[in-house]
Amino acid sequence: MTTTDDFDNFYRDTSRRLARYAYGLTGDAAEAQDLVQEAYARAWQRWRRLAGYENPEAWLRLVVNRLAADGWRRLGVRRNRPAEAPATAPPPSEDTVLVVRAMQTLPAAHRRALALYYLLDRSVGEIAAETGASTGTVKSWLSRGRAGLAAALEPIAPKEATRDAR
Amino acid sequence: MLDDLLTQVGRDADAIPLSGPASARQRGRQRTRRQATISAALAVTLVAVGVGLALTRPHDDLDRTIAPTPSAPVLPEVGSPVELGARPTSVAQAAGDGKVFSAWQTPDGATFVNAVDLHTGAVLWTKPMETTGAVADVRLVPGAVVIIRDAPQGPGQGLTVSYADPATGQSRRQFRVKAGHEVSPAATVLVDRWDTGEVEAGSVATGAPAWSDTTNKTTRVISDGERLVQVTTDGRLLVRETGTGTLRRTITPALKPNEHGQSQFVIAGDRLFFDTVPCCDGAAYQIVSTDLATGDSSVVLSQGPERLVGMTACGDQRLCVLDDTPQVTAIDLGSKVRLWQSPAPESAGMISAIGDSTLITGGGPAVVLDGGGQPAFRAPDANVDWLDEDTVLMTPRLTAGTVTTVNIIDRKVTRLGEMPATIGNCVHTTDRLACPTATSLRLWSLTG
Repeated sequence: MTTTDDFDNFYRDTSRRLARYAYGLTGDAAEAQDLVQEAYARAWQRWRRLAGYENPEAWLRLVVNRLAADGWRRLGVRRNRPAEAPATAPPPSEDTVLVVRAMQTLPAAHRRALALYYLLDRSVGEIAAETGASTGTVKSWLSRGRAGLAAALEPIAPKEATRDAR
Repeated sequence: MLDDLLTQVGRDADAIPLSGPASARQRGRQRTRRQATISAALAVTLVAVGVGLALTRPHDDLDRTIAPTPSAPVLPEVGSPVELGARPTSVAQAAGDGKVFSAWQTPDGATFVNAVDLHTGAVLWTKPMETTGAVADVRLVPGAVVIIRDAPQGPGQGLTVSYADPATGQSRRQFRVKAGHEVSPAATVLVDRWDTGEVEAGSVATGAPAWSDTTNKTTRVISDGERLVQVTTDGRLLVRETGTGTLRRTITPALKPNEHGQSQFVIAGDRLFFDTVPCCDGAAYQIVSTDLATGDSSVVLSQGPERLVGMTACGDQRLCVLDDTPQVTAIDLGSKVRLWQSPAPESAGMISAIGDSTLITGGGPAVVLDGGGQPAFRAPDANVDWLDEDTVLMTPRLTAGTVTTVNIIDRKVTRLGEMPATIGNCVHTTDRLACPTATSLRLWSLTG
């Protein structure tokens, strides 16, 4: 199998999850689309090294974290959009718009934990390993993130106990 | 309801069209070409101005980003790697009392716990655990190592909390905790707050209830060892002796904590700090400081509309508060004066301090602020933790890489050596670093 095949398989295996993660962080489909492609572009630049990493997918999420935090696209760094740019994302549901808008009001650490836990089905232990936080801290992020979401969504999601990570 | 909404977010994200791998490769090649062009141009420019800069640049590198270079020697190993046979599905470690304790679950579901001598690296004991369940945490309490695992049925189904003798690994007691409960392991009891608000402390010695409180409905229990604080649904703080449950004081704080136990609580010395938002979206968050010995309680900070991320005591009579601006605010607890405010990295999620220096970490860069709020240094994507009062330890995140210490007083950077990629959080003392890798548990010296 060639290096290109390896990379393409990696892309196909992981890009959907990365898109979920990027969407959870940014709340904007077009921005998520762009962050995902930028992260894979950077991965391709150092693919030989990255392919040997224990968890190259977590490395991609780190890149997305950084780009999202930097407001990379908003700062106008995005350019050279390829000719084969993907179609525009279909409009999300009304509820999704409300949820992702509410997520944007949360601290970055809470938002990241919620995205990993709910959108990528990562366990508390896995989130702790990825972020370098203790499991107690991750539980606190999830708990406070859920509370923040519930407060922001109060009309449609009354306060309630949900998946308990405590 | 929230679960359903987030599931829908995932489904909508799955409909986002992506350009495909060929497009990513093309974009990667364009990046490489662009960077090469910029590097060549920069090289010419830097040669022209380099001498001038060397002469005129002040010796002030406080805010420099420290990036370890990949040419360090291999980190000196202590003892031999403890081979695990196969990549564990979950693993956690804790260090203390001259030992590192590790618990891990194998792919076939078996769970083990062992102890390794931090000085020699010798394996002191290894024990299989009686029941299965993914390892969530390992903690040390006086006289016991506590292993916290998900219930055998899986995450979300509750926990199994096991106490073992740190000298022999002999099992002392195992508690089953139902889903939705909050537990606080202590030396002689396991405090269990039920989702219905009752509190029961199970005796490690007998397994029977040592004490309970079914009268005061409780939303949180916070313990610093011998002392336990129960936060009741009506906002009172009940201060008890953890082991016996003896009630020492009932305090009505200056403001009620948030409902549903969603305030963050920190005990530092005799003070308990928590955040609360008294009314509505956009209202300032308030930090309440309560003296657990005297019952005195007051608001020490009102700030917002941003929300609290974390807080820590940061020196004598000082509290440092991280919010999602993101910024750190230092408060003098005596006068309630804001001493300074300093920006924090966007990804900031945790704050800790030794003395009056503060470390802010999270999923991205880490920053150390000195006692005046000035950046002492900034580290790129690495795990950063205090090694001692003057030194931080940087270990690579997710990948193999260099282990580095940085003295925050004289800014001296010491590259200790290379370590492999880890699969979980490392633990350390001032002279040892223990980490789980894909196939083994490793122990290294930080002092050569």
